Formats: sequence, C-alpha cells, structure tokens
Amino acid sequence: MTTNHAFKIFNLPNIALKAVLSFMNPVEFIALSLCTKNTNLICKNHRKTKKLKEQITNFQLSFSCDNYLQLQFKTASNYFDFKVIIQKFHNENHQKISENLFSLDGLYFYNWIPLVSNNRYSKLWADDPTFVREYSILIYYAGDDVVHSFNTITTYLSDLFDVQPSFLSLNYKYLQDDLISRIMDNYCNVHNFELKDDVNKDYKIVNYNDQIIVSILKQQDSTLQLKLLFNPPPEFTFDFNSLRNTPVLIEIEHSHWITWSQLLEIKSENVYLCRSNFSNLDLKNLVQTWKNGWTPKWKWLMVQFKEDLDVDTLISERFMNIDLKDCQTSFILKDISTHAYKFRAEFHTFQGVTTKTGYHLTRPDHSIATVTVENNRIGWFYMQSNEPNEKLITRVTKHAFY
Amino acid sequence: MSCEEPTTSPTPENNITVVSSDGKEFLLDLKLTEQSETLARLISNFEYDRTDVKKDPVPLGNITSAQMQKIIEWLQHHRYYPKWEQNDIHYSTSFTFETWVEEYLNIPNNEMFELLNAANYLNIPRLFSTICRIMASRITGKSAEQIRTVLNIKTDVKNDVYTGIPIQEDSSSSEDGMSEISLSPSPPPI
Repeated sequence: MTTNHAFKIFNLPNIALKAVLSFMNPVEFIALSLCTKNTNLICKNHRKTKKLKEQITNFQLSFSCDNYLQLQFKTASNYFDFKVIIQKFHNENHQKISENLFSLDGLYFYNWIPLVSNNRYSKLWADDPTFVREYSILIYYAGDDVVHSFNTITTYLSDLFDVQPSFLSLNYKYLQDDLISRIMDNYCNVHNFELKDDVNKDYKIVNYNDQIIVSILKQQDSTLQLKLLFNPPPEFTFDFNSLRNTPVLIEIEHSHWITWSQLLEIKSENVYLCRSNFSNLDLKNLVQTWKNGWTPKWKWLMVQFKEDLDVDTLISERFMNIDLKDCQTSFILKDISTHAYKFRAEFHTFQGVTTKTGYHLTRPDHSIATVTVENNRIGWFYMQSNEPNEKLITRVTKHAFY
Repeated sequence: MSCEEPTTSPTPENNITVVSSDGKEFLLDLKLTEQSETLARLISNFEYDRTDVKKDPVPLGNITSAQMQKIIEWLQHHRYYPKWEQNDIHYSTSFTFETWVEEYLNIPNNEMFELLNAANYLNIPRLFSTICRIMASRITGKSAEQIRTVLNIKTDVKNDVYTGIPIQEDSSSSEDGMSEISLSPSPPPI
C-alpha cells in the first residue's frame, strides 16, 4: 500500500477522528498508542473525558499461577474485558518474539491479534449480559521480576486510559513469601482486595505457609471490598480490628472460622458470609438481641447457614401480614402496638425463582430491621432507614442458588 | 449539467435536487434524505416537503459527484432500514456488517477518507459509524510500522497535530513515559 492510499486519520475533522478512536477496541487503541509519541498523546487526550473514564468499571491486577491484569469495560450497549497475560520469557519463545511487533521497557508482545473469547457471565437479572467478550493478549517479560513488569504495563495503561488499578487479587498458594511482600509493597493501597487459595492442578503450589494470610490481611489497605475466598483450617483466627481500614464490604467465602462474637463486632457496612457454622438458633438470638436494644455496626448481613432456616421460629410475637411491594416506613411505624410485619415475595431471577420470607421489625426507638430467609439456607438481617415515607428495601443473592 | 436519477425515479413533488462541488445535479427522493440529518434539517427549514413550495437546488460544496453517487448508493440500500439508533459513539462487540456493506466499503483508504468526510458533512449516522468502525478495525493485528503506513502516521512527528506545538524528542521519559518504547523490536539476548 502506498502513502497515497493511506487513510490520513489525523487529517480528519476532530469529530470524525474522535469517532474512529471511540470505535476502536482496547487492543486496537493500545496498538495505535504505541506507534509514536504523538499517537500516544492523542490517544491519552481522547480518553480523558469523564464519560470514557467511566466506561472502565474495574482495573484488576491478579497474581496467581497465571499473572494478568484486566480492564473491564461497560458501555451503553455491552460489556467487554481486556486482559493482558504476563508470562516469563523462555528461550523457546525467541523465534515467535523476534518476528514481532512492539516492545515496552522489557516487555515483549507475542502477538498483537487478541485471543477473543466469550465468557459466561454469572447473571442474576434478565438484563445482565449472558456472555462477556474478552480480548486477551500475551506479553513476556525478561528476567525474574514479574512485579517490575506489572508496574511497567500498569503504568502504561493507567496513563493511557487515565485510570488507576482498582482491584488486587492474590492467590498466595502460587506466590513465594518474598514475592508476596513485593506485591503488597507496590499495590497494597488498591481499594478492592481479594485473597484466595484455589488450586489449579496444572501448576505446582509453591507456598504452604497459611500464616502468611494474617500478615497479608494486615498489610492490605482495601477501603471498598475485602474478599476472603480462601478456605483456612478450622483453627484459623483473624482479628478484624487489626485491619488498617474498614472496607465497605467484607465477603468471606469460607466463614466457618468466624465466631458469633466476631460477627457482632464487624464494622463494615455490608457483611456476606458463606459456608458458615451458624444455625437457626443464632439467627433467632440475633433478632432477640436487636429487639433488646443492640444495634450492629453493619447495615446488611447475609449469612449462608449450616442448616435450613425456619423463619417462623424467629418471631414469637403478634405480627401483621403485609405486601412487600407497597411497604413504607411510615406504614409500619404508625401502629405502635405491632412490631412485626410478615411478608413473602418471589423474585424471578435469571437463575430461577428465589423466595424471600421475612419480617420487618420495629423497636420503640423507631429503628427498623428486616430479617429474611431466602431459599431456606440464606439468612439476611439488615437495618432499614426510618425516614418517613422511605421504601423498605431488600436484596437477593446469587448464593441462594449455589 | 447532467441530471442523474436514483433508481426509484422520484417525481418533482417528492424530490429535491442537490448539486455537487463539480456542478453535477442529482435528484434525491425526500424519503432518502431522511437518513441525512443535514439534508433533513434543511428540507424542514425551507419546507421543501410541501408540494406548493418551489425547491431550489441545494449546493453541496464539500462533496464531489463521485462521492455523491456513492452516498446515493448507500441511501438507496438503506432506504427501508429502521432509523439508526446508536446515540452514543463507542466500541461495541456486536459490530458486524452485512456482505453488501463490506463490498460497498471495499475501496481504497483515500476514498474511504473522503467518504467519511462526506458522511460527516451530511450527517448520515449509519454510514459515518460504519466507516469509523471499519477504519478502526483495519489496524487490528498490525505492527507499529504497518499501522503507520495504513494511517499515514509519520515517525517522530515534530509537532502535535492538535496544537502545533513541537514535541520534544529527548529522553525525558518521566514526562511522557514513552522513551522506553522500542519501535523495532529487539528481544532480550538468549
């Protein structure tokens, strides 16, 4: 192709140039940004608008048996992910690399045509996507410093898309202690943190030191989400008061080690506990404790109990049946002789129908709490606003189907 | 001046005449002009959709007769398509183009460039978006050198294309973060 037949993109009117840039997928956009300093500047300027920045809903760094970073996009019409898989450079890759395209401060791109896959989305509602398209590219790093390589590509993408890493995921089973230490030194201030220990049989576990969990949790700085997905031994303990920050949400996938007294003291606004050791009696005690005047620091508690729950055993007082859809705070606060309002509702989710049965409870101080049972095993206890005419709200969870 | 008619043979009541930059006249069915926001607004402003209003030819000084012919072909093909609803310009994973569109846009890049400018001028959203996405996709899988060729990007551009301000070509990587980018790949020694 001759220069005469080139598409002179930078001679386009500004509106057309911006449209062409907007219609690029992330891989195309990054490729253009790597062409020259000027294309890099134009691409960076293009992404500076609030609207485009908000398209990126998550910037995740993941360290495990495979290391990658991922940008998740949500546009007006769909969702898609861009993933950069980072692997160590081995001699056998030389032939492939040497024919190739771009390099970036010690990182080598194997192929600039992304691998495209459609990943099934764990959808709950009908308007959630069924699949999310993922574009992934593979890059190699020389030497032994995977953290340095992450820094390089993270800095480049942060600069280009004007976003900072928002999510750090660690699988400590595949990371040596000193590497974990370096990762935490570099990225502990990311606002969302996930610690896991799931095993991939294709990779050799390198770390059996379960004690490292405590030091990681103490070092991480999450303020939004803290997801503990590991399954520790029964004797494992952790003091949540030793966290540097109080995250808005704590989710514990294997919460058998959480004690009842610990649960009552957790300060996060949202607490989700799966596979707990708690029973129907614990939930009944929780309701009674609240009625006696205690108020938790959290607002929303979801617990997957070890046994089937019977919501009718939780309340012994007189109650009134109500329709969940029409219920407002003013309605349940106006009758001072009734402190329990029973409801039953079905939610038609993409996973199936979930049935919620529960009670709105009031106290003499006009506090309102709701206790519900979802598909028998999931118990919720949450604090409602008592502002006049506020609608009483409820939530459902995917865990009801697992 | 010659006068070219679209295949539907519009009658005087339901058409307007547009004149390309090289003086060629084209009769355009009013139904077709609905796809062009520029023409639709003009017709509305001058009430050319009324049969009792005299319709003067509309000069399109930015569009050559070749481009106009190409655009009419597009308008004819999409005559009965629903209105283009994409209000927001962004990449979508669902972009697919019918064979007719791929053949229609199987033209040299410089013609594509002119057609995009014409679609922008006439504000034909479906054509504009389609060309933009097809142009964006033409860099997929290409090396830096190939992209520079396809898009006519000069290496080591001296001036910023927006501001005209010279860009320093020094090694101050801390300022632009780019000095470490190698445009001719050199894998690490084995």
